[in-house]
Amino acid sequence: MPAGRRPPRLGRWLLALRRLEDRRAEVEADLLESYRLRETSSGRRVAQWRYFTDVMSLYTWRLNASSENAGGRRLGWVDDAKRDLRHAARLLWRDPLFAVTASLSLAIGIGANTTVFTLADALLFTPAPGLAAPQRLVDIGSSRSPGRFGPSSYPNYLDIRQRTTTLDGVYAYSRFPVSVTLAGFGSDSATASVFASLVTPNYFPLLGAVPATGRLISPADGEAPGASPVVVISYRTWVRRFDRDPGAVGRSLTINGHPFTVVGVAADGFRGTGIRAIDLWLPIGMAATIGPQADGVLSHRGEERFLLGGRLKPATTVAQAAAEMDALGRTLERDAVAQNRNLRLQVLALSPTPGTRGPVVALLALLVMVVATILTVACANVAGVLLARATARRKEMALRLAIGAGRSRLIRQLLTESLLLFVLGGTAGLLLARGLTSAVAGVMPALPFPVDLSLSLNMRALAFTCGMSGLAALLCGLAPALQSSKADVMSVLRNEPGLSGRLRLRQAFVVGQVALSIVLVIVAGLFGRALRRAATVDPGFDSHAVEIASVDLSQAGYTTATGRTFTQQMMNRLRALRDIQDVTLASGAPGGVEVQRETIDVPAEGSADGSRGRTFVVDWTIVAPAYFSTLRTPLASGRDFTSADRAGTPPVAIVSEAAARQFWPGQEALGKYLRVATSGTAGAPSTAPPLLVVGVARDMQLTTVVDGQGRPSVYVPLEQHFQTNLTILARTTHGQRVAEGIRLLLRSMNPNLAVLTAQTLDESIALGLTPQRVAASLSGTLGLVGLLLAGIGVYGVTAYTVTRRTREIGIRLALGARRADVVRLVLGHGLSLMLIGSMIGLTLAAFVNQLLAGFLFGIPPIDPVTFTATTLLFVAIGLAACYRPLRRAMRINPTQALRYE
Amino acid sequence: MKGDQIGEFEELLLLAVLAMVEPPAVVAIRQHLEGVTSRRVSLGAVYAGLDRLERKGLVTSSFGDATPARGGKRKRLFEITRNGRRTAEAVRRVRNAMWKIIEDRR
Repeated sequence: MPAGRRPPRLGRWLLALRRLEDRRAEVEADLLESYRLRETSSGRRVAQWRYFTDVMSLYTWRLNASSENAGGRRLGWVDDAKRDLRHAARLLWRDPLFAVTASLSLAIGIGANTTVFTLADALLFTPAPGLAAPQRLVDIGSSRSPGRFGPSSYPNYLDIRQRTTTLDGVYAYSRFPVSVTLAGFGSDSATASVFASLVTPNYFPLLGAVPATGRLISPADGEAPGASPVVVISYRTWVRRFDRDPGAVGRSLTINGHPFTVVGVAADGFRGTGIRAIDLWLPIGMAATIGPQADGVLSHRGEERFLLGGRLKPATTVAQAAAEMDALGRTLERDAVAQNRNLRLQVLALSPTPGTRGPVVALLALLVMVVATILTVACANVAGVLLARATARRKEMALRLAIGAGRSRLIRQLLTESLLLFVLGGTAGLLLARGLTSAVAGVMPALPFPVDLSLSLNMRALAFTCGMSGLAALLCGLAPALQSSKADVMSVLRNEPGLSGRLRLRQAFVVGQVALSIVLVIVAGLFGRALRRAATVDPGFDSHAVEIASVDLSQAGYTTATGRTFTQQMMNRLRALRDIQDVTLASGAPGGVEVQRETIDVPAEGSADGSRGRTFVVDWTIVAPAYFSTLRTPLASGRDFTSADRAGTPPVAIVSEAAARQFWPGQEALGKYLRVATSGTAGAPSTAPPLLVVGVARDMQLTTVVDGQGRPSVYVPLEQHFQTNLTILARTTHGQRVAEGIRLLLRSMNPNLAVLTAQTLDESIALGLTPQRVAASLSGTLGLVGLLLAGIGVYGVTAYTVTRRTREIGIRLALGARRADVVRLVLGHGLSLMLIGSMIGLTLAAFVNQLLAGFLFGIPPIDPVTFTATTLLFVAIGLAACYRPLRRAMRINPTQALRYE
Repeated sequence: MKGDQIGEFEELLLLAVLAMVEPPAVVAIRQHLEGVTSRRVSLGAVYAGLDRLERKGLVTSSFGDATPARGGKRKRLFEITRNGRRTAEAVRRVRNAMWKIIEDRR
């Protein structure tokens, strides 16, 4: 029996969503058995389909069961609901264009909201997996200035741990996972770069973590420097590198060139308390062993490298712990006033993003605002059309009222219709959200540091979506329902023109719909144009055929002293590599996500000695010689750095043209001086050595290409500002990929050195544009769907007008009106709605355009192309929507029309 | 008395349980029904019907052994009760009597 095949994913997913309580195991097994029987008897296709229909049938099974349990009294209600549902389904089926556009626009709104909710849920509320009683855990932040929630130094940690009485224990772990190289394991003997976290021995016990196999780091391992070369590997590392081999425990790994013994594997999914993916955990005592640059990391109070957390003692509250820590912080300040000046300690409930809660909340709030607007527009759209349809059914409603239907009964029926629409929209929205969250998850591996977030749609997200859909359905179904159930029986049945108030509401909705849709389409157009612009604009450098690879020399044990020699050898070998035309080094690649900033002082005119000057924040890039020629950026004047600009020779700098203009307007920049501002009292003279400007380079876009242009940039030579964290930029002869060549070369030079990231410069720039791309496609899709809905709305209004005025048109024709007059009559109405809506929409869009122009590079305050194109599109849709009613009006036969009832 | 009235589908389920030598499970009952009636029977319908019959006291269920075809999970096995057998026979008597009248008239 081909027992290996599994039932279809969608079916299993739907099954997982169904509440089956104690029957689940039994039902799942029945389904599986049936599936396998069918697969052998009728083939895979049939088996899959039947599996799916069986799962669907389970939904009605429990529905019936619960209504039976409720007893006979409520059966009437259930019957009514069923009848309403059938009726609603039939109505939607009769008007597929409306059903599809309406549920699509709701799906986009609900899908976007669910995605943001899932993201917020994962970032703020869901504790990381594998922690015991996470609600009793707290984060301890230290700050020197208000509003910060930062890391602490190891000596301060020891004092806190010793003195606290409200916490059962305090642990510490690396603020940023340390990137280390790993060698000597399994089948793959290559050196790999992974992320490690240094933790105190009480870290795992306090978190209540359990190992998957072996043991975790424990207090028995000791905390003394270099005492315990042991490592706990993550479950993922165990699976990937050791293929779940239980024999991995006890093996030796080489980390940054030093041997460590694997003592255990963390539980599946365990990643500490944060959101970053960790591959290894090392005892904090090994800090100096793996990182030579980490001298003093365990002894200096100024080295604030660790985040702290603790577990509350039973019957202690976060507030009590916070009060204690506040007092403790002041004590620490008194004890070591030189290093702990202004030290304040805070305690907050455990969060996956400790201390960054503020910015994260702000970002999420912004996202929530955007998606809430999208949903509001979608609801307004649907409500508008529902209202139009309800008006068209005035007669039906009046008739039913006349023969004794209750008003509440009618409202319920109309609400059922909108509810059905929202169930459709909600379901499609959920599928969309699944796609969007996996897209978000797909972007994560491309981030400079790996993030481990479970972005699966859970029950909470599902409940959120259902609630959202239900609320939206109620809000936009209620107005139309109340309206139409109010029908004045007598006047409607006598076919008298309706109250003008009702029509006005409808018209207002159509106008609003047009206006909002136009805004969305224009916003999408603006983002699209900005993206086009970003692709075509000259960023000041040539990104094609440039490969970038980042390395951290400290991983292989180099210090800033030994790294220089190695770097020179590496550059010589790289230059000799085939396919490489030019190669250089820098602290980062241009156009990427991150850029280094520095505050500099520009001394006042005529004083190179460092008297009071002006300060500027600049993009700060440390570069090797040939940086500008590799990127094909010409120097406007002066010279490039050379190998003569070493440590010991006069410090020099190259500034961008924008910097030159801002620092010394109207003057020659060459020969001027600037300094790095030292963190002292503002305005006080800087003590850093003055840098002589030797060159002026053309402006480059150093951050994400679309936002802003010509921020001042300062470049300094690597030899005078050496750091071990470097990016190799290599221009290839014909755009070949040379990443593999670089990787092999580095490994041959030092097996402990690994390439951290390797991509082309074009790829790196494209990554920075992802948010804009998402915004463009989201608002574009919604705008176009909204446009279609607006079209349907205009059609509804016009068709209704024609029906209502058939008699009038007939009389006019009989009295000798020309066809052109009829055209004007019909078109005039529909198009005027469209026009009013467009005017409002264009005005709104102009405001939005102004806002966006601030951070979308290359977009004029009012973009004529986008605005004209959008207006023409809407006029075309408006005309198309009027076409059918118009044709009907043209065919009106005066004699028949006069008899028309 | 409640439990004496059963619907057509419940009758079929009852007969299917009676037809098997060993106490059958849901999957086997469905197979049997689909085979005899040559119409599609959904799993949900079978559950619903058996639930009702059990509530009316016409069948009882117990858990059987696990099999590999079911991913190692136990299955629920159904047996007819004395009351169930009586009801099935009562239905049969009614039907037979009515058919007899129809045939006698020919």
